[in-house]
Amino acid sequence: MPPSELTEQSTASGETNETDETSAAVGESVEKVDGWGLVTGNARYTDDIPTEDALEGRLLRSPHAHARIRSVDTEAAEAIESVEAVLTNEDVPDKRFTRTGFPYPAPAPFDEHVLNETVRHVGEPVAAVAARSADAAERAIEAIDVDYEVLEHVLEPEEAMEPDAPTLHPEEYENPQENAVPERNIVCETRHEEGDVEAGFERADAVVAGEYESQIVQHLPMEPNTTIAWIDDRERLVLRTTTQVSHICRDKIARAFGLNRTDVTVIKPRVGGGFGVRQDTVPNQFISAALALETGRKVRLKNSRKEDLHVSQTRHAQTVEVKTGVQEDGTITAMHVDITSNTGAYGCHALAVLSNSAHEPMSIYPTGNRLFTGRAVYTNLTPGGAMRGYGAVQGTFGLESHIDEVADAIGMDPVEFRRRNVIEEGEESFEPAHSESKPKLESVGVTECLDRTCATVGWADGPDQPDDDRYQRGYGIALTMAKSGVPNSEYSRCTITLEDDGTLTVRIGVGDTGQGSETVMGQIAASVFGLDIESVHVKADDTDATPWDNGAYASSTTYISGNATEKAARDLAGKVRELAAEWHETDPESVELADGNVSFPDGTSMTLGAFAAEAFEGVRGPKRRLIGTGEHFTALSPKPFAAQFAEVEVDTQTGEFEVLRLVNAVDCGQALNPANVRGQIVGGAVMGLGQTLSETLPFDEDGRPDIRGLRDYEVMHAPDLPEIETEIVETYEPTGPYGAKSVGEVSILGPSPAVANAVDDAVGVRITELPITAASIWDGLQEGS
Amino acid sequence: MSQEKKSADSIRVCINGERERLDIEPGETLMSSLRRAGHYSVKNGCDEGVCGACNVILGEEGLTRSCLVPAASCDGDDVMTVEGLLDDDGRLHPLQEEFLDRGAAQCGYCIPGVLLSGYDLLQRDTVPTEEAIADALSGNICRCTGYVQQIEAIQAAAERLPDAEPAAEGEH
Repeated sequence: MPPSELTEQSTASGETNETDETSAAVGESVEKVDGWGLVTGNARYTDDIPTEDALEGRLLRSPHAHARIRSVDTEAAEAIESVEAVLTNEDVPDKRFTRTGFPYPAPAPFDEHVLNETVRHVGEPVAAVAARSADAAERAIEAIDVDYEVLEHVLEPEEAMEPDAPTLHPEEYENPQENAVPERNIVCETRHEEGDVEAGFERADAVVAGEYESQIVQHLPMEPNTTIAWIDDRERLVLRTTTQVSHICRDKIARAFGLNRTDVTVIKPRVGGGFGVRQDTVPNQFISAALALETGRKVRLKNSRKEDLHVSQTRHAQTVEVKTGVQEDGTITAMHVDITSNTGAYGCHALAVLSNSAHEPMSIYPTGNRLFTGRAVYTNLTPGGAMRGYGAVQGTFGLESHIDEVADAIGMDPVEFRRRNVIEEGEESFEPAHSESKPKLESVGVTECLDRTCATVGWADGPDQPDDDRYQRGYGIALTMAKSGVPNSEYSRCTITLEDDGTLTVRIGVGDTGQGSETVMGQIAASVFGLDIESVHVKADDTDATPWDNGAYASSTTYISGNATEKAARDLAGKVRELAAEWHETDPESVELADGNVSFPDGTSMTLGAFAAEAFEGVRGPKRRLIGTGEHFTALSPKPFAAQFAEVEVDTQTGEFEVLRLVNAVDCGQALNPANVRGQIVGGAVMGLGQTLSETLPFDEDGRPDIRGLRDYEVMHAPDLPEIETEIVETYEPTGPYGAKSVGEVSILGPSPAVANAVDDAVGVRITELPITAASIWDGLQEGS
Repeated sequence: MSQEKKSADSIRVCINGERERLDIEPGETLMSSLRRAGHYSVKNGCDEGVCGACNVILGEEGLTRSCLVPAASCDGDDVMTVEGLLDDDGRLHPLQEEFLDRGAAQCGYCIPGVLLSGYDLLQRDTVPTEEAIADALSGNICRCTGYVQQIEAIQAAAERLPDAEPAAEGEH
């Protein structure tokens, strides 16, 4: 199928959507279905309901990076008036689990309890209190006396793997991962080879090697992690909570407490951002459940911003080593990527992030000989978890920096070098060894992204240099690839009801964390019927009311849940045609559904509303309210691609530098809602730029987070933005809903290597450690001179 | 800075034109008091005056982070939250419309605070440059949008507001 070539530029005039008219057609930037609430302040997030009847929950957190809890004296805390419960590790289920928000059993070791007897990072919950006032809860926390046996701790993977290092998880745990060596703190070790790498290196004219380091950063969604838990009138446990994975959260909570899944419900109100941190069932959720079960009362447990910064899962710090064999004509003969990933105190996402770190960036260059080796290692830091990009941020920083070094080694332009080696339609991605999915990719717009970017920026001409040669400008580029869901794992189901007024109620379990998934599901359903978006109501916030969906992660929503929605809409449309054909004694195939009408071959038609009303009134037979269902499960994960470009200016006397321009050309298949797509691209790119330039969550030698609060965590602010241009390069993904692939993660991957490559282009300094600082450039300048 | 006002167990404030009495607890911030009274559009993003999600327009002081202001000091003040942007018939302000039309609100948690920063700017500068808008948003953290569509939306709203046009071009 030929790809269409529509371009949407950030500089486009603001003449779209000037009217109040909405259109359902996919491909239109319709207003978000939840948009009115967002801009009027009426949207209700977890903590935006009255909770005067709720107990206030508070957590006592470990001051030690590694300690065994000998005993906890809670007597004084319990004696405080209005304290209703004090929980320690002795009061919670003994069964261990993983917080990872993948379906059971999940690719992760079951290595933690609701409250652990051994704490493994600073800030880990040790005890929990529920009291009738915040003041009493806080006093109770202070009154708890813990006898810790402080243990030796370890913060770096290399040290943690040494024979004399403390063992963080000495007890046997369920569900160990591939090649786990718990006594050396190795959560998993993985190896995936295609072709013959040694033979490939032998055929090379040059072998280039490099090592790249990335730091720990935080998701920092603007809404802090909050849970309100209670027991409802049917004696069920209810969590109203910030989550991207409501159905999995329900499942995990039920398993952890030995409850039937039917006795738990999870309500996901509006959610103030996710970016992966809400893809896990976080301690806050387990502990508030425990407090509600203990007291029988409603409990409110809200992390402060500082707590969230310190103890929410982080991006994994990784060391990425890359070695490439190359011939003088630019042919890559072999590539080996080796990654050591610091997973922190618990192994949630250790293997899956590690795998993704290499497989996505390596897929872009389908040389016949590829090897990935890697390991994830326990340390006494806040656990690493899922975060937008899911390891590929680190891997892409390494690989796309390295690709420039390889091009440089053979004296070839880095764009020309990429063009010669880049993946094309019909080739296969470098899939994880544990995945059976080896599809030939059907929509690959990466070369077009590269060409479009180069044309936009005038790559061949290079930057205009400032008059004062103290300042040097450079260009850098990076290619990126992400996924559309986890193949052979993700599952979504959708039901759509035709209401008696001709509107549709779409029930889907995927969580909208702001990316606009409810809107896109509504657009897909509406498009099948030719309705406008206002005729569709999307219900997606409650596990009782919506069918199973793995949730909003792995850039799966539009592809996986969107396919389920399209199938459900087509199923319902088929039922409408059948019933209409029965009424008119005609063939269902001849009944047309378009523009909100049901039309017959004899030229007559009725509105869908009139049809639905008659069906429900039972005028021509039994009463009916038609429901369509659809489910989607796939071994495929179509890949979105991007080319990202940065222009920087470096002060050669100080190392100070500025990113002047960031250009993103992204192939997301068909853009179902271009304004949303553009928002995802820009948002991802700016978050990626934050990791490149300023964001870091440092820990001191005792494993304490070395920031006082949000003021010390430097994210991008509006005045920090470079000039940002965004082009949507549309291909058509035949397996996607209306040709769509994903877009949520692909644009966060490129800024780091693009900026590093631009710095090198400007002043010949190769920065291999994030964040890129003036000091590191200065050091490089000194070495070079 | 206005003079120190007496602390009390409750304060009288005028919120979006409606007179209200807010109960306050000792040491409580205006943000907490407003939220407890049901003004949930005032978001608690950080509690330390950094993220701008709790922005309100407070009397003559203008744009204010309500998590940094003792509630007790606000007795007699006018407070505007994002609900105050709606007109008497409940219609959206051009700022709100432009945010919707341009996909400038993703998760929405920062949006009330961002809209009030934009509103505050447009009170002072009816034809703001892109740089002026970015500066006006310097006290807001938005983690979703990358700010670009927000800046565009504020600029578009400025163009629609009557004061932005030269006086001769009187039509709306």
